[in-house]
Amino acid sequence: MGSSPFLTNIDSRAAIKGSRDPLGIQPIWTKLGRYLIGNLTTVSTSVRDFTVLILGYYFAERIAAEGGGDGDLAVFLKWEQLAGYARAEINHDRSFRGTERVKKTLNEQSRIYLSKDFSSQILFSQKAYGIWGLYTVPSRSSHIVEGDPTRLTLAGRRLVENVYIPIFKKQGFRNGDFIAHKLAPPKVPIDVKGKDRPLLKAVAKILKRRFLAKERSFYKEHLLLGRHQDRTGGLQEILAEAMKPGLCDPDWEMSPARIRHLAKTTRGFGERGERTAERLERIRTAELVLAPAAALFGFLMGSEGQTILDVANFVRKQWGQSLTTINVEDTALLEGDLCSAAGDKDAALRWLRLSCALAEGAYEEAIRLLLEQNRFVMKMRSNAAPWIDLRENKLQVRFRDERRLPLPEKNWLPQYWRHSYFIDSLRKVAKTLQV
Amino acid sequence: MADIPRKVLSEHFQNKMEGRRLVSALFLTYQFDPGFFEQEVLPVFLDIPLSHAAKIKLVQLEDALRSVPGEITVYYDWNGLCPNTGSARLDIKRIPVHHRTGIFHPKNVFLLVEDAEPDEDGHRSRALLVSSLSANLTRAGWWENVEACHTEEIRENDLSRLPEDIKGLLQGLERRLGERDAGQHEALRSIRGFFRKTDQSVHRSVSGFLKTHFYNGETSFIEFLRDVAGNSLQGMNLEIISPYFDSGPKSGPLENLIREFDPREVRIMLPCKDNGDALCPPELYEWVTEQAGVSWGQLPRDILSMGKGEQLKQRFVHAKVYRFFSQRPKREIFFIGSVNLTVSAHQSGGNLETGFLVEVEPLHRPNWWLQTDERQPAGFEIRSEDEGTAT
Repeated sequence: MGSSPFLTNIDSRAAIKGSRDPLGIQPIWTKLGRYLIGNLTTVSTSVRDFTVLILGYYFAERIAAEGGGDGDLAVFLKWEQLAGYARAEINHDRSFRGTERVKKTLNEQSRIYLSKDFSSQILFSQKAYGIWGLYTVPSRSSHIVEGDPTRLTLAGRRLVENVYIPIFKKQGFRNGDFIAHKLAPPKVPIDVKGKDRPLLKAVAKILKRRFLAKERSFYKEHLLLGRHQDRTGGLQEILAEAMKPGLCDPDWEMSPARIRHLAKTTRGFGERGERTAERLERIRTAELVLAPAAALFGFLMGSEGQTILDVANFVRKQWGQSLTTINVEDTALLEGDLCSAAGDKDAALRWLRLSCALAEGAYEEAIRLLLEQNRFVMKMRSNAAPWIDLRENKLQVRFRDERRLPLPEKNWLPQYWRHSYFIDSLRKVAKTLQV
Repeated sequence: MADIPRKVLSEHFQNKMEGRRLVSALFLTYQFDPGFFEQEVLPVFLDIPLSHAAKIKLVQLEDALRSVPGEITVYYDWNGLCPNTGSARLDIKRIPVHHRTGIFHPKNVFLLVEDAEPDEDGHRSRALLVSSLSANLTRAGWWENVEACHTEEIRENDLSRLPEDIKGLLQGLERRLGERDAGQHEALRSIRGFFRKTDQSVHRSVSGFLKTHFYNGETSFIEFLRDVAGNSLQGMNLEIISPYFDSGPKSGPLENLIREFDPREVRIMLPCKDNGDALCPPELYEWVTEQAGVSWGQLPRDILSMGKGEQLKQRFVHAKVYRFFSQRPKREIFFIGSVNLTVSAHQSGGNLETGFLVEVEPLHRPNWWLQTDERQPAGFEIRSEDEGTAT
């Protein structure tokens, strides 16, 4: 007795992780980005997902206070599922986490079940890859939730009581009592097309794409400006302000020129504006080294069996005698940040040597430094083997799953950008709220 | 185009494990990443909540393993070790296999399971889940590549065609490896022992519907298909998904399949790189295009996508599928397993390969999975099926 043969879909864990950071670049750009954006992460960019989180913790707390339910997490997961079905079925929203499973379930059945069981979850591991796992930390940093067990802050609770509960009330669900009772049992049947449709409509009303003025002001304060638990000394607010004029530009994408332009704009905001500009310039300086370094390592991954000299010659043909985009002196100023991000002085010096090697066109040296850096990172990471080894002076690619990635063209290098620094996250939130 | 059944591999197994607990497990693989297996594959079968912190997760897994009554063992090709995710830390037997005439290439999962809750008599009924896959026990295989899988479930007292062929594989493995340490093959024996509670069916089909058969590599691939399916495969459409081919200038295995089963039309997936280069020898590409009724094809693009970003790489198609089908009458017969379209995979005495021959009852008239692709590739690159192993 068996099921049918099938082809495999990509596992969401592989899709979410994306790059596995063989050079330890992520801690560097995270460190530089956190000077400016203290609360958001690369995956917590949907303002509506923050709404789901706020209501999830609200219902979890209410049910716990009444001595019911099967724990905060279970209630939260059931609420997230209900929100997902409402967003898909009523709002035709296809931009939240778990859309595929939600869509599939809605196509196959009109009676669905909310529960913490695997069969009801809308993601492979809803706890880890859903809103609980991905949005709780940024919500804490945004002063939306706090404490242990995690509870809404006063501001978060006020948003629910002043904005969301009245919407439920208007839809015939006074004080949200019905929803709290509904989410308490371990397994909750939902009749999508029948008696539970009004409930889905009420939830969908709250989660529609347009924001009410009161909501907008809450999210602006907490998410965009990061005012209530500001780790940036007010720089995030300046950056958000400086972003405003460019929000309508559909072609906006991260590039050294865009970042320089942003820096120029922030200089008009007094002393804090100057500091913001300085931080943006440092990000720009770092990226002009990190992005080509990452591209070169990706290229090495597809250079099995070639000598370092062969690859260096190829790189020279592609990139020319030197990378004029790199400013060695400015890069040297990053030593402190590189050191604390890598947790190792030698690693920081290696990055500085790499910037010199690339700037001078010493590509053989640059390749050796990249291999050394990968060896260091993998060793620090569970004592793992390096992805690329040298055997008889030839590259031996041990991580064989990678396919060769092309090097960016020389004329593209001045615009080449790969890493987030959370700037795109902030811009996405700003654009959603269109401040 | 046909609606191609697709699942996430871990979710497939997680569903199969629902309401059950693991008694013993046996994994056969060509490539093996022990760290990834322990951290990401094993938890699927243990069904316990795990911490994200690697060290805590390890302790939790150690605890969970103590509750498994039997053994967990992985047999892998002695050249296939690729410890990309770190070294092994758990008490799991790992046995390298040196297959003298080729490579140890099977990809199977054998899970002896029992009901989590006993019945009224206190009995927990047991079952054996047997999967044939194309996926190695690596991150690429388990998470990223396009792979193929089929799982059969054998319950106590079941009558099926599977026991003898599976036992043949396991006995052969044990005989060849001998026993260097006491209890080395305990998992294998417990799984073989389960067949004492099952019966071997003598009929290959029921009312013209083919029963599922297991290929254990004892005969050549063609012989197996001929012996098991008889005339059932004659004159059907045939599509083949295989990431690897011989170095050319022609494909002996394809010639043999065409000679033996006289397919009405044949489509073969052309493996390609992101830049459009074909992963096969140019001579072989030309030879295939010259064959009457044979064409190259591609899987739909959405299957190959790594995600939603535009600059993302395509997924590597590592599946090995031989799909025979006809629209009138509605029939669909798959071979799913480890067999590439290469001489060493097809011949007797080459690689050790395994798989299932499965007939399914199609809901609709079956159609092609592959869309024909007549574009000339920009370039060619040759890859062999033992690529990626340690040297």
